[in-house]
Order: sequence, then structure tokens, then C-alpha cells
Amino acid sequence: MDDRDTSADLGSVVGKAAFDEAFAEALASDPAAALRSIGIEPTDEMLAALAEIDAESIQRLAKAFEPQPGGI
Amino acid sequence: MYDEALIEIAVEADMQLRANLTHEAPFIAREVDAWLDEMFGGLGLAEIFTRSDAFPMLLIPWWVDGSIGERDRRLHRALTYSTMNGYLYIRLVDNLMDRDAAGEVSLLPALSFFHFEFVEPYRRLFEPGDRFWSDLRTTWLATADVTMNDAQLADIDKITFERVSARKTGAAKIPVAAVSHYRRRLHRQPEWNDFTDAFGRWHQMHNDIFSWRKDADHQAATYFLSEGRRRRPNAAIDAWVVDEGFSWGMDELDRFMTDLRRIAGLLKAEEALAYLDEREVLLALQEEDVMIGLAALSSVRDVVGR
Repeated sequence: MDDRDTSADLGSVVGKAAFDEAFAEALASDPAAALRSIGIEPTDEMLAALAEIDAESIQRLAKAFEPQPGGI
Repeated sequence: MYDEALIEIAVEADMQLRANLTHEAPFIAREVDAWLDEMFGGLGLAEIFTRSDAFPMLLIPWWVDGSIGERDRRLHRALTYSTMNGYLYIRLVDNLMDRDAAGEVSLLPALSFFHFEFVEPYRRLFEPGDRFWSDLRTTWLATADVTMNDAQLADIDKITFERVSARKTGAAKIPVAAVSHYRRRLHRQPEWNDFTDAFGRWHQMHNDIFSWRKDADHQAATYFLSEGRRRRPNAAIDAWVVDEGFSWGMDELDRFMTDLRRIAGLLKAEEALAYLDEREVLLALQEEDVMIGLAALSSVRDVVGR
């Protein structure tokens, strides 16, 4: 890894996965492309670990913060 | 959460609103129909107003009336019709103040209908000199004042949240005043007003937490986002939400709920307490989804952060 601020990378991937339903889905279905889409070059170690993640729970998390149509 | 009788009244009010608008202003009616369909995904006003996550603006006067005696259906038909119109007035103004809703400027003339029909039912219930009108005037103008004030805030701390942002739902006290004056039972009105304000705090905080991403995208200032920037001025806001913001927000919600329960207890408002129980169950389900997801994400953090 280069000398970029890793905490910024961390914030990007965790934050996006938590609150962006499309990104959460992409992280589950094609983690390499998802990481590249936010400027992170995936390593084998990352991809192996991401394969273990419970994709549904992350998608439900992202959904919890999606705007609800018709809310008053 | 909602009695069948109240749902029936809401359905009638929805139909009456659309029929009156079509009769008086058919062109506006078509535009308003399209606006409501887009905003509410094709659901009727009755469904929207009685949803489990809606602000209980029809329920609070229903509880007030029920605490006095047998409910007066005619009164609630008038209140519900007025409240729907008042809400749409406020919602249209809010949407227009939102930077992404510029297209709704063409709907501005519809405000004439909403405002007239918000006030009209009260004209039939109260004589011109009735003290209700003073409550309506004070509450309606205070709500407008905090709405404008809130839109201009760049940073919101707890005091400003309670004094301004959380009072944007203050107009919900108008039907409470109507029941109190109509029934000539004014001694509990201050506590019911406190309850309505306390629910406004809880409701606004709930919105702040679960709509934070949309608010951040729209660069809207909220108490929740402001607190994140205060606590982590150099961090991405989403990282703060994941690390501590969500838990902090839930703790704030819990404090607001404690206050709501205290006031409902003072009022011996069993129906309101049961409603709060149900809202807490719904919130716990939302919280569970978030907490399980955040736990799963901790492994993303471990890998990417290494």
C-alpha cells in the first residue's frame, strides 16, 4: 500500500458499504470492482476476507438508511 | 396503532380534500394529484397519515378527546380535514425551500387552497372571538418562524435543535388546542402541548439519524450531522456515523423517549403510552438491522485498514 491516508480509505469503504445500497450490493457480488470504484486496489487478502462477509446484513444496513418514500 | 374509526375518518377527509379541490380548482387539482403521487408513491393521504412511522398528528387530538370522554366523530372529521390541508401547506413550503425541489414552484397557487381549507373547519367550530383563534395564530406563526430559522442554520447544537429544529412540527398543537377549547377542558392543554413538542424532538431526531445521508447529500444542516462535524472535524461523516454517531444518536433518541414517557405518564395517557411502546418496537427492529450490519462491516475495516 502506498503512503495515502489509510483512514480515509477506510472511511470510504466502510461508510459507502454502510449507507449506499448499490455499493453494498456491488461489494458482495464483485468486491474487486467495488473497491476499485472508490480508488482502492484490492489485494488477495482483502478479497478473501470480503468473501466471508455476510452480504445480506450489509445490504439491510444500507437499506435502513435509504430515504423512505412518503414519510411524514 | 390507529382505531378503525380514525382510519375511516382519514379516508373520508382524503376524498373530501380531492373532491373539493377538483370542484373549486380543477387545474390545480390535476397538478396536486401528480405531486402527491410522486411524493407518496401513489399511496392515499389516509395511508400516509396513518403509517406506523408517521408523526401522530391525527392521533394526538384523538387521544386528547378520548381522555375527556366519548369521542366526537364530527369534531375529528373537521380536525382531520384541516390537518391534512395544513400539513400539505407546510410540506409544499418545505419542499420549495429544499434546493432539489425547484420544479414545485409551479404548485405555489395550491397554497391558497391548502391554507383556506386548513382554517375553514375551525371557522365552523369556533366563533370569531373564541380564545382558540389566539392559540391558532400563535402556534401557526411560531411554526413558520422556526421553519425559516431552521433553514438558515449552518450548525445546530442541542439547544438550537430543541428551540428551533424540533419545533417545526409545532403546528400539530393546533388540533390539540381545538379539542381543548371545543370541549372546554383547557387544564390539560399545556401538558398535551408538552407531549406534542416532546414527540417533535423524538421524531426530528429519528429523521436526523435515519435520513442523514440524504441530508448530507443536500448539504442540509441537522443536529446529527453538526454533532458529527463537531466531534470529528477532520473525518468523513460516514466514518463517524459508523464508529460512534449512530450509537450517540440512538442514546439521544432514548433520552427524548424517556421524556415523552414521563409526560404521557403525567397525563395518564394509556393510549399514548401504548403507541410509544409500538414505536420503540419498530425502532428496535431498525436498530437491530443497523447493528448487525455494522458488526459485519468491522471485518471490512480489519481488512482494508490493515
